[in-house]
Parts: sequence; structure tokens; C-alpha cells
Amino acid sequence: MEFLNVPVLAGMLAGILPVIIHLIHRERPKVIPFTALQFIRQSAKGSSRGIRLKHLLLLLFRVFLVLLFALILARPVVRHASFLASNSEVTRAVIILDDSYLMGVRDSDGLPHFQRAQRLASDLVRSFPPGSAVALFLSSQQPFDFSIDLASVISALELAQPTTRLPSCTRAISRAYEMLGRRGVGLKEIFVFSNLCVGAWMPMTVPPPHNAEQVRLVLVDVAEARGENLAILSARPSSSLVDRNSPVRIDGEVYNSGPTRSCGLDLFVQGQKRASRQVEIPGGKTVTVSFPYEFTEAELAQGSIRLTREDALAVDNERFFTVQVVGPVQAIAVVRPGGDSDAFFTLNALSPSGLRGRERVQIVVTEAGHLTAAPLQDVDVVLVLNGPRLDAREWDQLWRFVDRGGGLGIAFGPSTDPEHYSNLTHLPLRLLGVKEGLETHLALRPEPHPFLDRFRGESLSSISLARFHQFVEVAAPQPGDPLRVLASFSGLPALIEGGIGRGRILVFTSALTTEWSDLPKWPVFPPFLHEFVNYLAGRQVAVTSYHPGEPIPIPVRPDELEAAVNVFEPGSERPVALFVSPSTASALHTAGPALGNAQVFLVSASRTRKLGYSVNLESDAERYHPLGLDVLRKLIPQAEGLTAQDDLTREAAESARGSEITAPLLVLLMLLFCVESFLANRIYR
Amino acid sequence: MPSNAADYLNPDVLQQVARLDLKAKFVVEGFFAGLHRSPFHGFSVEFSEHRKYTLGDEIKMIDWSVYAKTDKLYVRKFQAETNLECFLLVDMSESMAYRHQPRGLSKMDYATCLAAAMGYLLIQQQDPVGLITFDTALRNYLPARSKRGHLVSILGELSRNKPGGRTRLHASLAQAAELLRHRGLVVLFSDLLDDPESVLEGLHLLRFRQHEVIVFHILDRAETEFPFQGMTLFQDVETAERVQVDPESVREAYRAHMEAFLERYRRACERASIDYVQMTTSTPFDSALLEFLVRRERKC
Repeated sequence: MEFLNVPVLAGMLAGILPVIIHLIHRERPKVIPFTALQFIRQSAKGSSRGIRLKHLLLLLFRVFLVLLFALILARPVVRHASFLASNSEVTRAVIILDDSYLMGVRDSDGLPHFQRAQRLASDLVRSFPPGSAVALFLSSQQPFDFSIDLASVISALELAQPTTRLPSCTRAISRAYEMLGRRGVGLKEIFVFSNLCVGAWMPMTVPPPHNAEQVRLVLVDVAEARGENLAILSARPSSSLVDRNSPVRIDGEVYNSGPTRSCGLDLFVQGQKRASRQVEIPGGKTVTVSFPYEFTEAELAQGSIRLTREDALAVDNERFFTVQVVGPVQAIAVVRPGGDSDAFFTLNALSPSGLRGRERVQIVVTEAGHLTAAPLQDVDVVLVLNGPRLDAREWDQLWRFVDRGGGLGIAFGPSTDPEHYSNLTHLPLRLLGVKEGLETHLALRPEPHPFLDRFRGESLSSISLARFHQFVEVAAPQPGDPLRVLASFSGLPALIEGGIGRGRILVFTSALTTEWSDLPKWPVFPPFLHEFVNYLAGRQVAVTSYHPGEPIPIPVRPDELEAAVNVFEPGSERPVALFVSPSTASALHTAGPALGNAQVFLVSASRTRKLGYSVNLESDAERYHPLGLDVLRKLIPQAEGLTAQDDLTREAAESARGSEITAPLLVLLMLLFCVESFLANRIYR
Repeated sequence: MPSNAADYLNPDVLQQVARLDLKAKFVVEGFFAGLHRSPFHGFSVEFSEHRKYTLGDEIKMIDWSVYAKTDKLYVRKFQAETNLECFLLVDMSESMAYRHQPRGLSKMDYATCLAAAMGYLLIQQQDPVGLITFDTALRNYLPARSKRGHLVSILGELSRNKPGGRTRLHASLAQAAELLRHRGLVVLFSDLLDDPESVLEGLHLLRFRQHEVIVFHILDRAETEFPFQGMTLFQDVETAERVQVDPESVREAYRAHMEAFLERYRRACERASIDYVQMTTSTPFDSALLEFLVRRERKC
């Protein structure tokens, strides 16, 4: 016998109360003088002893009643088939099948856990008596309705497949409790078939259900012997935006849940095997394997890292990645006439001479006055360095360039004429003069920004280390101005962002030379300039790896608002058409269950743009750890634990199940109270 | 105070009277007030007087010679006259003091009243009456006399005596038998709560001495019905012995034992030609008196 409310058993101490009451109120018989005592003596032979015995018996009876009452409050459960329930009792049951990808693990005998769960669950459903209502609940899906057609439930069970997701069994249990509710007659049961891997039991708590007393919860561990498994947890290029002909590192994390072993890994790019590695991975550890690679074509490149041999769980043997390979940014640097030195540090940072055509930025220097001759239609970014004076035609040309989508970067310097830059038509700046005689640092605004975020902090990559001696004082933008301050010098604007049409403008109020600061001497200078240029060119690193079921925002350019957006999901040849939201300038998609690489085509009137993303398992090493039944029963105290070796048929379940015997004991208690009243009346009247 | 003399036959009413002589008088007068005819007449031989015939008088008592002379109906009245001495034996043991109802008569009170009334009655008839009181042994002995002054002695003796001592009927009756040399009428007032064998042996001794014996077996109603409730510790009034019982559980058995006890006396007395009258302290006195007179008439 077990008790659902063990602390109440302490109430059995109240069994001493009748004894105390008996001692306190022990009846002192009245003394009556009498004459014919011989007749009393003859009539009451053994009566006194009998009365004392009756009193003792009544006292014991009352103690027993108190103990029984405490026992009932403790809600005893008897595990005995024949006590209350019979295996013919109609059941209302929810069968929860853990269909996470972790259930695809094969045992050492080659049988996947999911298939064993299907068999066990089917056998269980077959053992239910006619009239029972069963609801199948695949943990990744909405539950089926209760059905008394057990054959259809079994059919649905047999058709089920593990998914590529990690649904929560604990949430499914909570939902199943709600489904069973409080009402209804007969047995109410929840059976959960799982191999108890941590990943499928997050969060590891089940809120106390309101009907836990009425519902029997059985957890069935379907894992007999877990096979050895290697899992590729990630396949990450160093960036999702890579330059053509530039070396890239693609890292793969491999987790070994079994003993130490060596394994082979292959790198596939665009469907072709490009490299192979052999590594030894200690048991229970994760090892990172790097593949250096160089993309030679500016295109959407997709690939994967794959284990060379199959293991216990196939679905985690390959991890996919997507990168956008781009060519060099085409830029023009505009300097004052004869001021080639103004571009010296910029040229060396963006396009070092030793790269021999593998530069990430191809930059041409042009003097002010000659800009109109430059082929801006082939240029991504124009950098105006040291604040040279440009004529009106040049500025008009630049505004049109930006309006079409080009990027304009302006850096002031010793030759900057504040008045000239205060009167620009499309850039409402008010330059107040050169600020000098102080030493200041660049302070980034706390708001996140796509290209500035990587330069925050205290490391060498922090832009705030550089010292600035001079800068052009610019009045803070007025409300309504299309300008935004991204960084400041002693509270005055240092980096200002604006825009015209589809293009961006960045204004740096100090110089990109050593005349006004030591910034060019810091290691952060080249990457800062590269990100500066990339941002102006509209090249941004994007997230390209998602889990099944995750939302995927697909950014759409302003000239693509009318474009048709078609997604080819992994392994599918039929596109999914997406709706473009003009307000967010994006199309929203949800990653499907299939793992692999997907392509997105944005087809507008003028051009077709190709994007892509990868769908990978949601996994880390922790999620593979098996939870024991003991651990789960501590987390869910009302649960019973069974293994695949146990007989799960209805008959066996009945014999194992506990029947709470509170109700019959209450009836017994009431009967005993009646008997007590009768006895007390007989003895004390 | 009761308006009718017959009310004094009720023991509860009589208890309001303090003096024993008045009690005796009231009982006797009440007794006669309830009778249609005198039970005394008819067993004496000496003519006393005439009186007018009244309805209810026996026809045989009409003096037809007077009728012939006066043409009126007169009945003859006779003075009671007998040599039969009557001895009243009153049990004064502690058990006779028992009363269940605190305001009721004890067996002792009842026996005293009854004995006094009988003494009064007999003295009125000029019959000799004696008194013996006893408990463990004889306490007092008043020889039988028929003088009116003797009644004062009897009543005084009865009212002075207080119950005490254990019941030893056999010894007391044996002593009484030794004392009473002449044949007479012995009236015993007792609860007879002693060994029946010894009691009957004592009674047989009296019978052996040629005494006519009338036994008034006086018990309290509680002794016959055992009406107690709840767990009770009974204490013997004579021996202080205690017995704890649940009266409910033993009542039936008690009554059976009591009935057997009474039946045994009844049968034994019948076999020994002893008149046995069983009564409780709530029995009206006229029943007892009538019983006495009827049996006395039969024995004389």
C-alpha cells in the first residue's frame, strides 16, 4: 500500500486522543446503597469484568476509528489488480508519443526507438476494452480527438513518423491532463512513450494538474540499449557574407555520445564534395573541425558537413550552411585637387597593394572637379575624403547616385570648408567650425547598429581607443532632419547617418588621416573602414541557419516590393509563394520540417535576386543526455515509470496500477461509526 | 391535609403524619371508612348491642325478635372475644431502612406503621397484643396484653427503635419461638433478606410451637423491579460489600432471581400452612390490614 498524502499519516498520532478522553472522562459509577446484593451478584457473574472488557474494546474501537480516519486522509493506494478495478473497466486514455528526432535513435539491435514506441503503444491500445476512448497525441502536433474506434487509433499510430523538431513531452502531458478533465467515469490514463532524452523533456517541470488524483500517468522508457551516436551540432562559415576568392573557414562541431572513436567528415559545397577530414573524438565530448575554403564565384553558395559513416541516429549526421559570396566593393575616393595623401590611409586599409586582385574593395581615387567623368553606374560607394569642395553638378550627381542605391561616405579634414558643407541641398548639416585643442574619443551611441556593434567593448577591436585632437563641430540634427547621430566626440556629433532614396550616407566629422587623430594607427582602423564601406554598399551579414518551425524574415529591397517571392524548401521542387509586406519591407516564411538548404527567388520586373537559408536540427550536446525514470519521477511525482521490458498490455497495467481506496474505506468508516454508536449506546445507556 | 380518612391508607399520604399513634389511628379509621361491613363481627360470641340495619349488613345478623316487637330492622352486634394472643415480630435490621425514593417510606417505616395499626386495631378489640423487635438477635420483647395502655408501650417501642445490625432471621425466630410458650398468632414483618433455608427453618419452629404465622414480606419496589440506570456500584447496607454492574444488563436476571426467591417463600409457607403476604412499601395499608383480618378470621 502506498499513500498519496503521506504527511497526513502523522495524524494517526491523534489515535491517542480517545485514550486521553477515556482517562479524563473515565466513568466513576455512582454508589447506591442496596439490600438484595446476593441477587445482583448471582445475576452479574462476570459482568464487571465483562463491562471492563467492553469498555476496553470500545476504546480500542475508537482508536481504530481515528487511525482509520487518518489513513483515509492519507489517501491509500493499493496496487492490486483484483481489489477494485478489473481489466474490463472502460478507459479514457491519452497516448503521448514522443516524436522528436531524438526518437530516431536505433538501439543496438537496429530498431529505432520510435518504432518500438509505436509497437508498445499499439499493443496497449489493443488491450483496452471495447468502449474505451483513446486520443493519440504526437508531441509535436495538436492532439487527436478521443476516439472509441481503437483500430483507427492504431492506424494513426503506425503512420506516425519522428519529426525534425524537439517538441516538449512535459507540455504534452499538461495538455493531456486538460483533455481528460475532471469529469467522466471510468479510468483516466496518460501513457507517454519516450526514450527520455533531455531535448524532448524541456522544460523539465509539469505544473501540478488540477486532476492529478483522477488521472494515472505512466511514463514508458522505450530505450533498451542506446546505440553509439555522433552528431554534427553545427556547420558555421566564418561569415554568411564572404568575398569571392577570399579564404573562409567553415567550422563543424561534432559531438560523440558514445566512447572515444574516430570519424570521417566531408565538406560538400554546391553538391560537390570539396574536402574530407578524419578526427578522433573523445566520448561525451564535442570537437570542432575546421575546413578552409575559398569561394571563387560570386553567388549563393550552399553546402553541408556530413559524417562519412552512418550511426545510431542518421538525422544528425549532416549539417547545412548557406553563404552569400560577393565580389569586391567598387568604390571611388574623392580628394581635393593634389591631395592624394588624403586617401593614403584609406587606400591602404581597404585595398592593400599586396593582394593582387583579391581585394575586397577596389577603390579608385579621383580629384574634386573630375567626378562627373567617373562611371558612377558601376560604383557601389563614393568616399569624399578630407572634405573637399565639389561643385553643384558633382553634388547633383552624387545625390542621384545615392538615390539609386549607392553609398556616400564623407570624412572631414583640414581642408573642409564648413560653410560649403552647411549649404548642401540634400544633407541638412550645420557645420560650426573646427574644434581643436582637446583630446577626445569616439563614443558609440548605445542603440544597436549593424556595422558598429562589433566595435564596442574594451578590446583592441574597440573604436573608442583612438584619440582625436580635432574634428568639425556639427550642430545636432533638428527634429525632422533625416539624420541620425551614431557616435559622438564629447557629446558633439561624430558619425552621422542619413539617406536619400534607396542609398545611405555616412558623415564622419573628423579625418581618416593622422592629422586630426591617431585612428589610422590602430588595428581597428582597417576593419572599421571595411564595415563602413560594406554598410554603405548594402552588404550585411544575415542569419542563414534556422530550425524547423522557426520564422524566417526575408528582407526585400524597396524596388522589390512588387516582386514575386518564391521559396524552394529543402528537397522540394514546388515553390512556396510568399506575401511581401510593404510596411516591413519583408516576406515572412516558416522553416519547414525538412532539413537542408532552401533557395529564395525574388523576381521583379528588372531583375531576379537569389537568396538562401539552411534548415538544421535544433541540437546541442546536452539534449542527447538520457533522463532516467527515477529522475523524471522526481520531477513528476505522480508518474509511474515503466520500461520497454515491462508488459504494457492492459492486464499488466491493471495489475501494476494503484487503486486509491479512499471511497470504500470511507464507506467502511461510516459503517464502523454506526457500530460504534450502537456499542456505546449499549454500554453507556 | 387529606379530607377523607381513607386517604391515610396511602403510604405516601401517611408519611406526612409524624406521630406513630396518629398514624395507627388514621390507618385503622381509614380502613374502616372504606369497608361496607365490619370484618370483626361474626367471630365473637358475646352480644354487644343492636343498631339499625343498613344496606350491606348480612341478613343473618338481623334480630328478628326485635323486628317482631318493634317492626324495625336491627342487627345484632357482638363484642370480639378471643384468647388468641397476637405477637407482632418486626425486623429492625439495617436492610429494613432501605428506601429507593428519598421521600418514600422505608420498609422499616412501612412495617412500623402496619404493626402499629394492627396493634391499635387489636387493642381496640381488647385482644392481647405483644411486640418483638429483632435484628441480629431479639432487641425488645413486650408481652401480649389487651389493655389500652399497652398500646402506648407498643407504639413507643416501635417509634423508638432504629434499624441497625445484620439480618439473622433464623436466630431471631428461634429466640421468639422460645419466648412464646402459649399458642398464638405470630405476625412477622420483614424483608426476609436472609438465607431462605434458615428463615424457613425459623418459621417452622414457630409452627412447631403451634403458632399461627402470618408473614408480611415487605420489599421496596426497587428491590423487586431493579429500576436502576447507568453503571452503578451497589453497596450492601449491612455488610458494605460492593458490586459494580450495569443494571440494564443484569435486570432480567435479577428479576428472575428475585421472583424465584419470592416463589420459594410462597411455596414453602404454603406447605407449612403459613400465610404469606408479599407487599411493597407502596402497597396501600388497607390491603395489608384486610389480608391480616381475613387470615386472622380464618385462623381463629
